[in-house]
Amino acid sequence: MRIKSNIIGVGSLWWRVSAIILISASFVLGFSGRFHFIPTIELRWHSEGVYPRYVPSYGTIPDKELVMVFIGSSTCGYSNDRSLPDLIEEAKLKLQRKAYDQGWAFSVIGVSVDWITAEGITHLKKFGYFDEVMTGRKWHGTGASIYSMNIQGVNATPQILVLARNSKQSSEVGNKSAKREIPIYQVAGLKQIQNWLNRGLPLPQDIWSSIINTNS
Amino acid sequence: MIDLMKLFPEVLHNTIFSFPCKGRCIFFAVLLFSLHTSASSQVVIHPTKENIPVSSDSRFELRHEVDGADFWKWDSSDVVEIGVNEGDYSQMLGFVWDLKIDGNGTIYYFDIIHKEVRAYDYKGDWIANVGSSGTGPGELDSPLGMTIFPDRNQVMIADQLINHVFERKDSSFVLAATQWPEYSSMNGRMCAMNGHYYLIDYSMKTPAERKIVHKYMLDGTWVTSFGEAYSHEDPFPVQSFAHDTFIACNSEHQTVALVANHIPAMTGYSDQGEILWQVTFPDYRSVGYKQYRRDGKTYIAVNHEVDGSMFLALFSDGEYFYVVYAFLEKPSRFSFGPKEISDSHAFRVHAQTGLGIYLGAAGPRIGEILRGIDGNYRFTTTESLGFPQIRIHKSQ
Repeated sequence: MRIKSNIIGVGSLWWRVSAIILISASFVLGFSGRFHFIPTIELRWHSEGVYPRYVPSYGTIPDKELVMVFIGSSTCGYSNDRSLPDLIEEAKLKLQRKAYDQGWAFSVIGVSVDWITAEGITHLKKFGYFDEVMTGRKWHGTGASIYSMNIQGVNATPQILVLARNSKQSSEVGNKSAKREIPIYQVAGLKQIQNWLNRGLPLPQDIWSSIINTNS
Repeated sequence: MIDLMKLFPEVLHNTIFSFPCKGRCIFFAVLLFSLHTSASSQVVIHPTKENIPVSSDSRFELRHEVDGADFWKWDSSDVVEIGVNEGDYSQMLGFVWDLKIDGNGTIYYFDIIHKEVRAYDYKGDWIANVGSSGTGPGELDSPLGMTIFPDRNQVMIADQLINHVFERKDSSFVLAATQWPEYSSMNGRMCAMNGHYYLIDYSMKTPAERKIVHKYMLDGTWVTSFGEAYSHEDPFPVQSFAHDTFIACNSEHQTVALVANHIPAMTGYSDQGEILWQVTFPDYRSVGYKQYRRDGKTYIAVNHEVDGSMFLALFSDGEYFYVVYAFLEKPSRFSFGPKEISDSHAFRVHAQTGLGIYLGAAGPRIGEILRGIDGNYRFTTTESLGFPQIRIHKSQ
């Protein structure tokens, strides 16, 4: 009886030491990141993103296209407002309807003004599907440069920019097609975007009609 | 506070485990509270007490909570609106950042969304845009604001580091000059009178240059600088307050007035820069800036946690300055969206004496804000219909 208890005692100590070494080694290996097959358990809150309804066309790029550019930022308070993803999704669908009514194609570009690309991508994910996304380099990034810095208007987020792309020239003598991208409308600010949607996404009639009548 | 983190680990261990279980919990609670207190102590709320003027003479205190005051009326006989829901580009406004009236029937407004200056007449008809976008000579790269020289029929637009001067020829504006000022406008707010113009800029170069108003001749020659900047050793809040400063010129009395958001006071200067008077607004509730450090960096931001007042307009007409502030509140307690204007108040201050009166609400309805006066005409801006508008009220 006494011998047995000694064996159990020694065995128990051995198992304890082994368990400590094993757990410690696991931690060291885990933290070292050398073994990527070790599964990770992640706890996440329910996504604040929208249920996506807009679907990109994934088709041939047509001559005439209405483009909606959404400019947001993961570091902007108003761009992270809970109501914004639904507003952007609604804007996509309503502008798509406007474009289709005129026989134009439609696409959506997402730009996130961020330094860290992963944060920009995560931010844009909240807003459903885009035909294209651009992020990184904050305001120096390609997306921000093309659609904010190079176009006359405010550099602010959140923002929606509506553009018309028409790859045909209106001139009769033009032989070679020229890609033209014309800003039609710009709206910046959470409340302003909300108001614009409530009003039915009005666009300047003179510019809009001159564009849709080109080569029609 | 004793910095516990600097104590030796053994001492800390012995201290913690010398307490019974309940005592340990209290110890940790105190420790957490101490850490929180030490973190919070790095937050500075601006304006600091020494930067808030207090009036010793009640005549220079302007309150909006006045009983029995003879408030002005908004029963206009005629209202003209500029800005439609859907129409031509010239009739769809972006956001009215600044509005100026030349006294000759023309309204100029700076649209910060479209970054352009547009001219309209009092009937609401678009006349022309002043300048066009671009980076070439006389083109607007990133305009900030404007002022007008009514007697010369000219408009000056502050762009990045330069000022463009356009002269009106019938219904168009042609470039008259481009200036490279010693101190360029930091917020686009400028005013002009008697052959000079004045702009706001704060330079962080040397303490001797802690002046925020810079006076120029119309040809762009710098004359002098005046107007004390916000008093603080750190340049970031000083720059923030300078950036949030409004300026107006009164040519009748050759006076320049300044108001800075979050500081409930307006100061009148002579055209040479001497302080003539100072008016305080005891009912104005400062929102202020919150300055804090995180990850070794200093941040400063408007303290959005607090509902309060914001100055929205400062301008001059006749012998007076007019100043407007409004209260901004969250639409509901649980709202995360932008604050909305709840009520607004307009005051009139004599440019020479600094004596003023409360006029009443700064617009006929909530959200409509007075931005300019020309005799019987009052000019307001609003987004009450969901889109921006300028409204011209002709008093009876």
